[in-house]
Amino acid sequence: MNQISFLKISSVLKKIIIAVTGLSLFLFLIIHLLGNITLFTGNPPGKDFNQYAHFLESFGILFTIAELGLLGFFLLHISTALYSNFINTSARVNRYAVSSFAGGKSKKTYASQSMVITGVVIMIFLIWHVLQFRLGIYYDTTYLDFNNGQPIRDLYKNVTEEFTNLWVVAGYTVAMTLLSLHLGHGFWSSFQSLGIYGKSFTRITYSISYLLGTIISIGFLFIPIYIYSIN
Amino acid sequence: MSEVISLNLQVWKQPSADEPGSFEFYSVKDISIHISFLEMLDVVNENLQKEGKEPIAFDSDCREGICGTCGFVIDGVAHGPLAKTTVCQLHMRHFEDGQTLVIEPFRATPFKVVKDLVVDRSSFDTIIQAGGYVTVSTGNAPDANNILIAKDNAEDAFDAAACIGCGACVASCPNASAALFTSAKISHLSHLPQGKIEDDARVKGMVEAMDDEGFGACSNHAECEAVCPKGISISNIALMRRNLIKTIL
Repeated sequence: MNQISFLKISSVLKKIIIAVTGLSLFLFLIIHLLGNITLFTGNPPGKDFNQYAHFLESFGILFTIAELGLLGFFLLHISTALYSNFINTSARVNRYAVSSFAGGKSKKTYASQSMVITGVVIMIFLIWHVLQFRLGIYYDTTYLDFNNGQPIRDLYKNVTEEFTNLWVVAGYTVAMTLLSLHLGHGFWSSFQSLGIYGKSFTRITYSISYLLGTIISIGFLFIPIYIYSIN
Repeated sequence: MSEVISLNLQVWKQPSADEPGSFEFYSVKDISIHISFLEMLDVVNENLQKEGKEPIAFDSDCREGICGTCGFVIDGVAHGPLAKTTVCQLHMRHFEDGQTLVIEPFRATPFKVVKDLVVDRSSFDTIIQAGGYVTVSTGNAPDANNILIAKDNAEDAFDAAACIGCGACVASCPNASAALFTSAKISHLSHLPQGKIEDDARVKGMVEAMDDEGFGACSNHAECEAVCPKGISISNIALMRRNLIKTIL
């Protein structure tokens, strides 16, 4: 098998890869959002959040493997989608003078047509997000009743510092709005890409898809807006 | 309601695949609302010929919506604004007096423009040749009902077989994907015992041919289902994907 035939995987298989990685990343987002609830609990503020972050890091090598796995899923999702988009663009070199929406059974929306644009913006946001927090400034703090009183990372301080900046909050608002659109088409579409279709199933997943995307985005966006508003 | 309407047409004119095309404007008057869109173009062409001008080239054959020969894009929608209707069955009563319509050929890299609104859809034949058939021993016609088929399967097979291969799915797809056409042909045979046994080779061959012809990938916009004159469901695309997954597992 030479290199070219190795790269030449069918359009259907590419979509299956995008769907599997996409649904996995969707699941990650939900876990991430649930974990973020600890930002609002604990006394003193931030204790639960810092302990949760420390708990995750305490898995050591397993945590690193999970992080690399997550990175791999992102890279696979993005690269396959960009490759697929390149082929799609060359499948219609001469574009229509007028484009429209047929309505009826169509599920074509501005969101479904801009998956690559929203995806690329979200990717840029993710790089920024990781630099801000995961690879951000290292503050530490101690809790007498945790980790034998030894210092642990005060990630809560990074969060509160970043979200007092209006530009950061504005950036997050843009990214989360685009995320809601991306998930809105992505969620139901992933099942269809995996061949999971049923009259009621597809109707239900499609009708809740944009709603789920919006709920997740509002959930994430609540954090910077809330922290900004109390400071 | 007036029985005749006037229209402003903006029609894509292109002498051949290798020459550039552009829009031409035609102002047409006294069009009966009872004629079809193609008959309206016939009237336009008749007048153009009388004036010694080049008529608009377009494809048509049966003109009763069952052959899949006709088709172009009206105001950004393949086969025009009426659902489950080919342009030959689209009547002028669905348009308003004084309306401006932009008429373009089906646009996709594998569909080369032959002339004006006529496109070459032979890439569909290539996809069919890659597995859209059943291998049978020739001989006497088998007895009817020799192989029993459940009603649901027969219905699903028939729904998929309703595809007339007009190419509107490709034309309307933002990615110019032929997934609806290819999957309808796969699904039609996959629902029947005669076709089922060749499922693996068929789905592999036809998907490969579809990609090789230069069609895009399906991103689940379902615009194809909305414009399909036969209302072919995207459930067929899901079946094609399941069949392909089965070949890998």
